[in-house]
Amino acid sequence: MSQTYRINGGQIDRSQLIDFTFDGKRYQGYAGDTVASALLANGVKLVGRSFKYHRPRGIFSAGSDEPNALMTIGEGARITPNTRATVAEIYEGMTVRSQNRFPSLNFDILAVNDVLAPFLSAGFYYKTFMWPAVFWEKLYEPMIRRAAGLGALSGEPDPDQYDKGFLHCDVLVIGAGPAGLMAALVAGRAGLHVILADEDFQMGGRLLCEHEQINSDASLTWVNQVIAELSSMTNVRLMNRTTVYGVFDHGIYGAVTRNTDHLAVKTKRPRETLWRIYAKRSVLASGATERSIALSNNDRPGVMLASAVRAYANRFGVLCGKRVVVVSNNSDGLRTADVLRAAGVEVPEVLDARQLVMPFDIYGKKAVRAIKFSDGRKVDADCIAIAGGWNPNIQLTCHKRGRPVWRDDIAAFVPNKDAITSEMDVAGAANGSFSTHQCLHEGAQAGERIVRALGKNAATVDLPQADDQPFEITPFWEVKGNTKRAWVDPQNDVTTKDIKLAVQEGFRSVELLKRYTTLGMATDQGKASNVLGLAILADCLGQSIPETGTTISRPPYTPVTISAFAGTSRFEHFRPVRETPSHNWAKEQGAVFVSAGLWNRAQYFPKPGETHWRQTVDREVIATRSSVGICDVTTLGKIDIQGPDAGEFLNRVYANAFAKLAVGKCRYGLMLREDGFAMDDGTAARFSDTHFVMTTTTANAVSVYRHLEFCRQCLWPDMDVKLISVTEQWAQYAVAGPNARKLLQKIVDKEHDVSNEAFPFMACGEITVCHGIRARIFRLSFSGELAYELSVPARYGDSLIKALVSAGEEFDVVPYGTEALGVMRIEKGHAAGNEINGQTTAKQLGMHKFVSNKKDCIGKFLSGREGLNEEDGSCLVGFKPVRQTDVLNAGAHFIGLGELNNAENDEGYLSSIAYSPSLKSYIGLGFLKRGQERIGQEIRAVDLLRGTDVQVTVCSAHFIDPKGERLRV
Amino acid sequence: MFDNTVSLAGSLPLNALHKTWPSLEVKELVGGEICSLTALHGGVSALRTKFQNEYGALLPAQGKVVSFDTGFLFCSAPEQWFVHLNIENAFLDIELGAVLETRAAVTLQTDAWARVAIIGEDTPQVLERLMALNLSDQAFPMGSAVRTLLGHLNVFIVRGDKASDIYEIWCARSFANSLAHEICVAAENVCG
Repeated sequence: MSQTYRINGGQIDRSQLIDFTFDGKRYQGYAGDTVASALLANGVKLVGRSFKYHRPRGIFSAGSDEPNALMTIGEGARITPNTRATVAEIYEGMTVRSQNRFPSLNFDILAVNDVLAPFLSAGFYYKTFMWPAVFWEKLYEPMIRRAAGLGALSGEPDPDQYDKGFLHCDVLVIGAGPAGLMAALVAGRAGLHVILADEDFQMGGRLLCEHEQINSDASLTWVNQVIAELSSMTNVRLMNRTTVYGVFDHGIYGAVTRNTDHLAVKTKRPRETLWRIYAKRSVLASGATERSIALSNNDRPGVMLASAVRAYANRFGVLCGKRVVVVSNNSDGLRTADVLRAAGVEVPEVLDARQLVMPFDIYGKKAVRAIKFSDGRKVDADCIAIAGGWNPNIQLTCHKRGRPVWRDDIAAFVPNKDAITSEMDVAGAANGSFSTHQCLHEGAQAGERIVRALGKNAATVDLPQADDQPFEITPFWEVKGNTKRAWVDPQNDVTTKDIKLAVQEGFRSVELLKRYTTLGMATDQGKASNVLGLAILADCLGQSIPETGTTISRPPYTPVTISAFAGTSRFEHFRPVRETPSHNWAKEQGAVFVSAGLWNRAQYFPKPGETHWRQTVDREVIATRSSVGICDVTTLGKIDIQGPDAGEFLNRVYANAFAKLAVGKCRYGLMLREDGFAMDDGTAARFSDTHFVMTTTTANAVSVYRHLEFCRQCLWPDMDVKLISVTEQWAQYAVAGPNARKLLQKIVDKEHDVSNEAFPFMACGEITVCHGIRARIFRLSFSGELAYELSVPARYGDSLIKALVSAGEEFDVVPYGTEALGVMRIEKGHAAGNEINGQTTAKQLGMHKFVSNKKDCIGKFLSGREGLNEEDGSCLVGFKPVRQTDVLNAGAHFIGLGELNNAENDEGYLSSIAYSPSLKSYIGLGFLKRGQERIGQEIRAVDLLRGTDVQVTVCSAHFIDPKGERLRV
Repeated sequence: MFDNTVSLAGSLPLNALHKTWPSLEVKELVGGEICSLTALHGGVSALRTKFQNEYGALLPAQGKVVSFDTGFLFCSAPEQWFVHLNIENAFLDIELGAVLETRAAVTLQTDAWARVAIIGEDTPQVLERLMALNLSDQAFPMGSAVRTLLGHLNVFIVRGDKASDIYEIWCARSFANSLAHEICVAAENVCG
């Protein structure tokens, strides 16, 4: 078959012949064709099957409102289902397949549903599959889901790239028909920054589809002139293949550009780009969509919208039939007959449905054969062109709850100017103004209004002369008197009978009607059906359309690929990652990393022969406690605090006192929230009278900094103190173990004495290492061993850890990760994130003495609340299993011996556990009611989720060196 | 074997990243030292005078960049400036603090930032895919600086006031690889 329905004319490029396949059969079209126009050119009428009844379906429209011709396009992983053939451009080698049929489009077994139609009315599954109840989940629902749906995804990962972007403009013009072009021209000439977006691949809107004249010349000549002028303006951005799919708050519009779908060779460029457009003003010039008339069998292949029949002839040089009957209720529809006759098509009947004779039935199953009229005549035809009136494309005016209003003179909803967003103007057919003259005029007016509103002078733009014939319509929605089904929503197989049934069953609200019948759902979102459906509903209810009301649109205007919303935020782009300066070194050592917030932290460093992570961690702990280990603690939050009031500032934000901390000393600090609960802990080191460096936990670095800034700026603006984060500036390493000092003495420059006498526990200072490299040293210990934290400017972090490891070879130094760090802090009894979890108080943590009585601080007052100071309140203690081989689970709850496992007997929980290689047993920290009084008692740690019940002994939280002697040697 | 005669070598956040496309160049900016300045004692004007006397440059207003003979500075937050000096000196904060006497809290920030320059005709197209900020000449002319989001990253965008029009992107050092990835993917999408 070779384009037997192709005629002269149109805007296709006949020099570029394109091969494509449909359901495996090869066809040809031209560049500029859509799949729909190319199939029609080849005489293909049957292109799909309906959703529920699997009725044969043909191409219905020529735009994004297409309800029938939904195709699966592409091959392999690039399969895209449910693509409207009317907007998909053909390209060489394109593979197109029909959907929702088995085994073939021509012979679909599920077409039996059409015979069973009386049992498959609206809401049938709510009524039919009630019994037996257990069948619903196991049988009915899977069966319905299997039968329902249209196209299918490939199931493979999407191979394409997607992108996002942000654009800013003075005015966004949506739609490049006569109104949009005119608005853009006026705004562009005035020097405004204009974005003109159109969903079509060619700009011109309806002018592409009509043989009209503008300024006594072909309208396309004017279109090309305007586009050429706009293209030459640096302040105008033309975006074709771009659908503005949503209107959001603050002048933000969502749009998606299809970059590569039309290309035969998919480049590396993103398939689609999702744009967030910030516009001061917008002009909605989105045109209008024609609607059908409900009559018997009006879903047969060959029944089309009259404007689509005209569009295929004028724009694509394609006839939709060779013997076409036109049925219209308005002046515009009758133009189709003129166009067809001019193209040599036989038009045996032009039926003005406003007259007495009505179309009554349509014959032909897989293609229209004839139409029968109410006067009994039957006329042969292969295409029925129906013009039921125009619906302005007002969807984008509704996205901010602008409910449209009804206009009787055009029998359509139009934007309610009082309800739509004030930044938006609506012009042309979208505003219910259908003549080309009106479109040009309103576009120019909208442009001028915006130019003035934005404080510019509008340049003179002569209004082109164009057709100004009035649009006349006599509303006519449904041919009554035939018992056969008449389709309202062909995509969802909703008929007039379904609507009447819904009303009969009490679904009288338009919102309920939509959900009960599925009217206006799926890809076309009711563009082809909504107004027709609610007109029939209104008729059933015996009230007017305005009284009946309408549903309103939400984004998106047309379907948007889910991947476009994800954009580049996939795989490693999903979230950013933070790495310390010695990350690559740790990687080279074979470290296993753990994600801590956004940080990638070394969790442990396995060595050859170690088959389980705990072997590695045990080794790291033992090596550190027996000699020396190094841990990257760069991720700790570090805040530089300077100013004459820095000491007093810390006094107020920490529960314990800091104002009198000596220069050259560090102090552990506990920070409370306003509500009296513990917020974070850390240290502050004093480098001068006016200079402190605070450390926070890794997890709370940002929240503590934010809290401090709130205190500084809002609570105590009179304090002379300044803050800045230095987390990123300094790479920091803990050097811990009995040989820590010996190792450091090889690194630290000789003029700095780090002996116990000169640099005791909790000392800090500015030093140099490795021949003059700037460093800071803190004698702090999280592990409970003799330990230091050494920081250098981050640029030196990588080489410092290498130097430390090299210098530590004689001590068998080991790098240790967060796991060993965790084990050692539990052995030492230090609270961490599991304990300072936002739900515990200083008292529970055993740190109530930190809350100084001599000064005020954030959280002090509320920490004194009665409920937080109960005598039988829980407090932090240690736990050991009675049987040394038992395993503890964090999260287990404490239940008394012999008591039932229920909430009443719950006495607390295990917050942290670890296997202690030093004690050769599991140990834990946890909160137990009156814990300090119960040291030595036995209790059960019950974990109902994991099914464990372990008898434990309550003990001191300090398992290792409870007197802290190791720290101070 | 530990060699105690060797000093430590500095490393760059992005190992001197440098990539080019026909109309775009992305490169890591190296060299110089950065310090933050914040006026103490409520003395912004005293600091402004002192800084101008020492370096011949005014402390710029919010969102602005000013260049001077030995570097440039921009306002990074209310009453806070970032100054970049064309020297190598990890003790700069101490020295600058001494120069400015007690008028400012000075903090070394050189190592806290990865700095990447985007240069070339396609720069606007690449940047509009990375950030919501309006970077048109009208909204963000040469001599502008702002703190904003690039993808999920918190960054400074610095558009110098010198003749060569480049956009500097400053991002926290730990995010450097994520920054480079974001920029290079956007560049590839636009220019590739």
